[in-house]
Amino acid sequence: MRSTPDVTAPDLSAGLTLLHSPGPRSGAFYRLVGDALADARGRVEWVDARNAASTYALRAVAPSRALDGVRVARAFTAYQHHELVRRVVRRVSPRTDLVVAPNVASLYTDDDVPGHEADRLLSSTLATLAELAAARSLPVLVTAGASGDDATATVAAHADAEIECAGTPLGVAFEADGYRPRGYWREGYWQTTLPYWVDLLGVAPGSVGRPRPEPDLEPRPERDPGSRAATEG
Amino acid sequence: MGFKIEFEGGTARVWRATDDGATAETRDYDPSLYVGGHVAALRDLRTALRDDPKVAGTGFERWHHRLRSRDPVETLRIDLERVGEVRTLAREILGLHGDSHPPGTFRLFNVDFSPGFRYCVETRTDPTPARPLSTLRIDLGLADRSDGDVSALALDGDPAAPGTDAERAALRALAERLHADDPDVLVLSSGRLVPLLFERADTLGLDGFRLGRRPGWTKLAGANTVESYGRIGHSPARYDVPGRVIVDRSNSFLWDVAGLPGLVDLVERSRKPLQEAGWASIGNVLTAVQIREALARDVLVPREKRHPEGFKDIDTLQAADRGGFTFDPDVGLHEDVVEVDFASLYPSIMCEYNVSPDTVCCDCHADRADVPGLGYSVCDRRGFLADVLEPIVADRAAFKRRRLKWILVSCFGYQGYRNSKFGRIECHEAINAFAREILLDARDTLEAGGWRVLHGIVDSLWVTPRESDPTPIPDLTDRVTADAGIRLEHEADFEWICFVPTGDGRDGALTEYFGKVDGRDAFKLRGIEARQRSTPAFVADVQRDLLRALDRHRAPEPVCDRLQRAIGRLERGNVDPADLVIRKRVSKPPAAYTCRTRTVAALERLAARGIDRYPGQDVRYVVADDECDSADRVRLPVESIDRYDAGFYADLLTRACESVVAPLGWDRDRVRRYLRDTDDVGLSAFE
Ligand SMILES: [Zn+2]
Repeated sequence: MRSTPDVTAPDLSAGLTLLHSPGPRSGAFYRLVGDALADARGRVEWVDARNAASTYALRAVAPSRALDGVRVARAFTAYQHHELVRRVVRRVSPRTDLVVAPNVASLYTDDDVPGHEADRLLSSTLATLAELAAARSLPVLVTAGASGDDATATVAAHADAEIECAGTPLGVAFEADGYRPRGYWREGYWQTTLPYWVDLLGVAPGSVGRPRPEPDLEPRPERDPGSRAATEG
Repeated sequence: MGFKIEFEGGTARVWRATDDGATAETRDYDPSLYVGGHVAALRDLRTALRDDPKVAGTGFERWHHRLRSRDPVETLRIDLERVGEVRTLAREILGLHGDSHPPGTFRLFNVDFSPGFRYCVETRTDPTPARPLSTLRIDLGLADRSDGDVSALALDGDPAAPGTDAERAALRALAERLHADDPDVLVLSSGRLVPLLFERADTLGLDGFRLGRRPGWTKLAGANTVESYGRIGHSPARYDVPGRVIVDRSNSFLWDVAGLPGLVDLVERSRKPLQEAGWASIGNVLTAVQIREALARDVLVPREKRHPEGFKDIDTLQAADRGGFTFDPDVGLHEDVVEVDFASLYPSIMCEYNVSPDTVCCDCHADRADVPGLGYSVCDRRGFLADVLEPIVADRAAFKRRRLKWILVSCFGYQGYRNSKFGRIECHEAINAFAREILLDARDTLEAGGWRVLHGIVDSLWVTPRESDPTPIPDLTDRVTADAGIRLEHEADFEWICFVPTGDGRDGALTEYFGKVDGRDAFKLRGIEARQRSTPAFVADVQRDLLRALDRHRAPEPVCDRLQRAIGRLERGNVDPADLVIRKRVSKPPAAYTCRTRTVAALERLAARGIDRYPGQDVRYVVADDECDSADRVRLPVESIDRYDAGFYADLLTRACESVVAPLGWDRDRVRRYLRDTDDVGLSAFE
């Protein structure tokens, strides 16, 4: 995972962010999520679909300390997914730093849910995540993970920001676009080659001007120093 | 009682086997489905359904909605006029009627039952036949069937009308046979014989032709492509005739495995009538067994799983994901090896350790850590799976052992499967965790007894003496059995066994090995070419010959000499093309193939003869010229085969040889080099 050039992924701000990722378990997703986990100091709630929460991939992209606060639950049907998202609302606390829901629309396209019911369930799931992000001023990262354009459009309609990414000769390039005023990225386009050259040639980081998210509305406590360190299974 | 159930309008026709045939009784039948949700929403739904012509009646009843529920819940029962309309109404409830409520308000139960099974569980009808059923086998070759020519029809293996070419004679012979023998079960080479026979009889003016105990036939379901356990399969159309059970041999896995007695046994366990059991998968039958048990506990069967797994930290997730036990094989040839197996390990864990969706992570014992490595609790109350499985585990005499074991293991896999009605991921994880623990403990006991573990996978261990006088295996298996509560059996003694390296030669392949069974002229093979279904008979025979050479000499050179001779036979054209037939499963529709594979060439040749093959079905072919990328690349077994590609088959032989000598450190290049260096006339002249 780390063998690609170390281009820096954009920071996540509060709100529902849709990463347009090329596949259900793409490297771009793990890059972005790995950086976000490394930044997170409190809890991370992860609603999984299609086995994106591969412990192998997560250990490869994030330091084990960063995985301490991650809690994962996996859904295998749209109904389970919907139910897990509702549970996340009850689980989120001021200590929560991030919510991750990869392949958020994927299970809703399975044919065990009638189309009409699936559309309503998916809209409800996405509205819940967006409201949660707004009310708690919390970053919520999703990928659509659906094969159909319709489902992806539904996810985009609920998203506060979108990130495009593509493989480049220099690694994964991210492009944040269409963010709302609430977004924190001051540049529309994420110039990923710059940090790469910074890393490679040692150019002063200040010259790159990587924007940081504004402080959250609610102060967050530091992580409990007594919590145990992650150990290899 | 009631071995065959048919539906017509709002009635069910129940056929009962009698001493001199069968009688039918017609009864009114209103199938039921159930809806859960807020009582107010259910009342709205009940009102809305009042004028629905599909609905015969409604009522409120108290049922459990989950295996783990303590108290039954008020549930709306909806009776329907026709069994064929259950799914339609279910869709309407979720769509039409659900619109005025938040999504997910209505939870549907008892929706996806096959009609005959539904009838049996709802009316408490036992579909086990009252007497042994009589059968008639009706066969017609694929080519004749696609030509629509029934003159070569065979009855119980003999030509229906020998000496004649007339279709009419064949159909008359069939009609006479049906009249004289009055069979209960028609075992057809393909279900498509049903429409074909009626159509030919009609064209040829045979009045009153029938296959059933009454006139006519119906098509129950169209052909479709199904996916099961990630594998694509083809499900052909299903046909029905009155009063007789149709078994479509091209689409009955269980008929192949178990035959009529095995199927009847499954009918008794599952309450699935014979015809439905005939086309069911094993998972499907076991689901039926579970549904029966659930309904007996007043638990309804959810249309889909809603309750998700709990949130876990990464360590628990990783521990839970670890899967079955494996102990990497020690690649190479080992002498004096013993294999020990746990009998039906997974189902035994479910019974012995009470692991079940309704017992794992119970609230009442939340403070206990019963599952090794995961810390989940397992309730003391007897679990659902133990009730389901114990009769099957206890009654192992009913099946051949291997089959039963296979059935049970596949049931276990079902526990983790997303569509499993009662599956629960924590249950699946707990079973794996117990299995690992049991295998690791067994390994420790064997090692302490003076044995070295060479390989271990899932429920089996291979060991060899580490010292001159180890504790006898029976003593150790008894000790392990007592500790684990699950029987460890002394499965086999090997004079020698080889564990095969993976393709890159770095590790041992987990499921590839072969060995010589002690004191018998028999080899046990797993995973290598001779065991693979696609391998031509000639290649499999040669590989067994190579194994015999290895057994005699325990060295790679004599094995390669045998290979040399086999290649010589190929090159001189001395191999019967019938022994070179390759069998491959079609994985997608012909149009979806983008490469010109051998399968595509075979599909084209079949299509030219008017024969379609669907994903999940097999194609069989002989490679005629592998360099060619048109349909000429292969020949079909039905064609007269004028040539085969000796170079292509020589390559298959070389690969098969590589599997045999790889444990001795020879790879394909080494084999080729040896062949080149010793390639003289002398050797091949030995034949
Ligand atoms: Zn308990």
